Amino acid sequence: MKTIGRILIILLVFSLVMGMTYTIVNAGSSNSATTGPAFGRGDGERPEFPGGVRDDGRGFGFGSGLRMILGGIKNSVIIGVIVALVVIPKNRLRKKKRDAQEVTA
Amino acid sequence: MLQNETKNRSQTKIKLWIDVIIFIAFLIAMEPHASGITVHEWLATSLIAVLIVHLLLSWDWITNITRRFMRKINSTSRINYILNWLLFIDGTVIMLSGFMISESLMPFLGIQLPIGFAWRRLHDTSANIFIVLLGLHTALHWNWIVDTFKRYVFLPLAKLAPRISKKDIPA
Repeated sequence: MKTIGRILIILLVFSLVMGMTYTIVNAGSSNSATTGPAFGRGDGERPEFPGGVRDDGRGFGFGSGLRMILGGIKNSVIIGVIVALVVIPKNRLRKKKRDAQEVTA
Repeated sequence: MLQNETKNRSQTKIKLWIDVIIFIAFLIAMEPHASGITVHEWLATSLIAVLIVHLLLSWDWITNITRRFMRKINSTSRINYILNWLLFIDGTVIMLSGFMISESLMPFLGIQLPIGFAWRRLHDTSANIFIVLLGLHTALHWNWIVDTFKRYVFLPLAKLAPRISKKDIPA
């Protein structure tokens, strides 16, 4: 029962954030519709993707597998760099503090 | 007391494996051109359930910091709390914008949504921001990740290794 209540709270906050985002984006796009560039597309037409063609991955094979691995490595490296940028100085600072405390003690 | 400790231990283990699953699923979901749009959409949507479990497992910490946020708490917890909210909001924006430009999930459910460039741009931007936020989130939990991996993955493996090598070496 407690868990169901918690799940409902999470879903409620999730819906609130979604509702707010929807309102903001819709207000923004309706404002820019009058001033923004004309894309020459009819209602309900799908927007074009970068490069003009959407790779829907239907032909999943060696190429897409390799692409996924490379993409995964790229994202992992980005995360790794951020982790290193935060963790290394943080640990050095902590060590300095500990050393200073040992000297005074 | 012992029961609580066992419960905590199993919760930590579950948390670790759920986080590993989320991370791998995230890496796959971040490559829609490689995985295919159908896999991308269904995988990302199913991540909602896993993320709910992730939040439920951290519920005590969330409620504790929410109650004490305006009072005196340590700066790491405060930064962590704000960062977690940003991650939640950004994740929700990714989900919503993903639903709005959906090509597989929404049509499958028989839902037709209005299409706009703004949603596509928002989806890409929020996904890029998510990587940075996830990096910071990982960095703030780095000590926990290292400790938990040591305790529940590397140590059991190290204990297992001598047993295997002893079996391999003839007396």
